Amino acid sequence: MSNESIITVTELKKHYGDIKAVDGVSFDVKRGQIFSCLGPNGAGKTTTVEMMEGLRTPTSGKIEIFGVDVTQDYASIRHRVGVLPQDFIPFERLKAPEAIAYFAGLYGKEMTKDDVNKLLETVELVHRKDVIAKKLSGGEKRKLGIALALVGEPDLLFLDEPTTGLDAQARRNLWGLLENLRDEGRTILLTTHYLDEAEKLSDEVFVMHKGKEIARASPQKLIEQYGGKRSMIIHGCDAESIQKLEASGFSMERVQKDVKLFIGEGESVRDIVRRLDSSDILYTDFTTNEPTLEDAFINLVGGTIVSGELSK
Amino acid sequence: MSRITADLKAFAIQYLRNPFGAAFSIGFPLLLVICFGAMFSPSATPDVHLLIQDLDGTPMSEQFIDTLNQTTISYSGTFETYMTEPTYDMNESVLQEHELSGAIVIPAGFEAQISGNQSVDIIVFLDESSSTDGVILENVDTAIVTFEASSSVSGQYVSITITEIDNGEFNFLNFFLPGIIALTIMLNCLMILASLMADYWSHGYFKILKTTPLKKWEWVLSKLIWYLVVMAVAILLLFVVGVGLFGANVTITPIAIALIVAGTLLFSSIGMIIGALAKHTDTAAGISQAIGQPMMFLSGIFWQLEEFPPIMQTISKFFPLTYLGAGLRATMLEGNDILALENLAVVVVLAVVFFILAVKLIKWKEK
Ligand SMILES: Nc1ncnc2c1ncn2[C@@H]1O[C@H](COP(=O)(O)OP(=O)(O)OP(=O)(O)O)[C@@H](O)[C@H]1O
Ligand SMILES: [Mg+2]
Repeated sequence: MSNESIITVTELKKHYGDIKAVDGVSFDVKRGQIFSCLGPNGAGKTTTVEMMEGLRTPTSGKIEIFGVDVTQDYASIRHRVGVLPQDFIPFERLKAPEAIAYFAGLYGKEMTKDDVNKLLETVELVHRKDVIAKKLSGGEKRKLGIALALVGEPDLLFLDEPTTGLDAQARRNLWGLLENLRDEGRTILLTTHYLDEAEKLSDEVFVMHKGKEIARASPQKLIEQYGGKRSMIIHGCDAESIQKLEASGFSMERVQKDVKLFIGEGESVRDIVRRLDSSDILYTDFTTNEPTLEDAFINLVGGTIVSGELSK
Repeated sequence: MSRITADLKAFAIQYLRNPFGAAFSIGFPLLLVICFGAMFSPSATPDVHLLIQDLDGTPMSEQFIDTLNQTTISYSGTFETYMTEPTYDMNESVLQEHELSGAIVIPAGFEAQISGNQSVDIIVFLDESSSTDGVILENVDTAIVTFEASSSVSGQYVSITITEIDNGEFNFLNFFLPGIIALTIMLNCLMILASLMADYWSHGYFKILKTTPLKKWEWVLSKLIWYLVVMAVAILLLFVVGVGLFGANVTITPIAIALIVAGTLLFSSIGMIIGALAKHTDTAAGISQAIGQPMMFLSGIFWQLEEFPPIMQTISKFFPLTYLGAGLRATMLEGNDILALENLAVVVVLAVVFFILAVKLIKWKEK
């Protein structure tokens, strides 16, 4: 990752009448980053991304990509950008290799049959190459969309919810693919409402809610800052031990039959175990819990995301 | 250039995979030609009405007429002969006035010449556009052979002189063919392109294309090229069927080709404008039908405009199809180049105006 900014967004706004879809966001994306825009349904992710893709005109604010003002001259950077829209529908009567050849022509790339096959392999569509796109499954259409975004070998990729509709295995494979692309020095901006995806993939997460920025940092930083304390779940305590625990001043809460102990600042698991032992607290086992991006998100937004929707 | 080729190729594949599109483009006008061709083409065995005039009035000429009347060749239609007075003025308009298939004139001096061992010409008037010529000539030939073999003649003296008469009979298919070509252009370019555009909107295809290096004018141009190709194929097919199957005699002229190209440009542009404004497939289909159907019936494609009430004639002046149809008819059927060029000029001007409007109005971007 270099320090060169590929995208610079300043005070970007998009209002639809009274709806403030995007309400003054600023950020920049560096070369070779995977930058995730995370937020529940209606947060304004698509609106933000589509303004960057030159598909919607901002109400106000500025977007620079490769040093070009997008609202002025998107045309001059189109050949360096690959796009997967959220509502992508492939050209229904084209087969996947035909669609790829079409886009190769549009991007001025020479692609041999082998190249096309390789790309189809990358997105795991080789076995479906003789089917017109209309007859592909939802996930397969999504994969074709990703392939088309990759045809132009773009320096910058916009992927609006790339893994929605993909099964668990395909999601993981796509993560691997995106990491490879990043390692080649390409810059990827994706949107997601999967917290695990954002945590696993991103170099930087932009948490968005109601058109505004909630937080922006690397997943680790967000977790450190907002994820809350680490904790331990103590299994197999009897009633007596629980009473003792409550009496000995642990920061704790009941989790069904078990007890969750929060590990304080500067404390280690060993310290806790020692304290348990010295207080004669009986238990069968324990597990430790690291905070996740979800914990950070809950603390930031006041709820987590369940199938796209904010859930308190 | 490679972008236009790529777009053209992808579009061609999609177009050809759409069974409805291709069937409609080419099938519908073809059906019209076949219907009109079958309805208006003369029946295969028309009745023969043959008028005979005897200017000689001698036993020998009467013998010839008897032979003619008794000659039977195998013909499934009716074959009737009529006599007319020698004083009747047998001129070129006779056939048309009396709806005759042909006429025979036996000249004065018929008997005298044969008796003097001299040859004699009988005159046969035939209708150029009628299919009964062969039957009449065969009949007359057979009669001559029989007549010459009879004891009173015995020698080959009689020959025939044929006068072809162009009685100006109207071949309906000739009238319709240029109109159907105009209609084919209108239907394809206006109606199909309008719903195609709307289809692109509702599927978000423009959105995808907007993010690629393809430019708007390249997309528009690629569609125009493709529709020119489709038009060329459709019109060629109309020709093959119209001329080959139903004997229409119209010609493709350079002006006709110019009209076809300009018409394709014109109606494609209108179709794209409708598609750009409508954005939904149903709306686009509705609007293009609301415009296309009155145009189809009020532009003199099926009926000659002169037969329309004056108000309709005035309305028809506002339909671009009127000029395309009239221009094509003028050059292909009537050979009236000046009239054709006048109409071509109107079509070209409209095409340029609507093309510019189309490129201006088509927006790939949402607000
Ligand atoms: N064309 C439009 N007209 C009016 N309102 C719009 C339009 N596009 C988006 N909005 C509104 O803007 C807000 C943000 O929408 P957007 O699609 O950007 O959210 P999102 O974060 O992408 O959500 P999702 O996760 O569901 O894709 C929503 O309230 C939406 O209803
Ligand atoms: Mg979205």
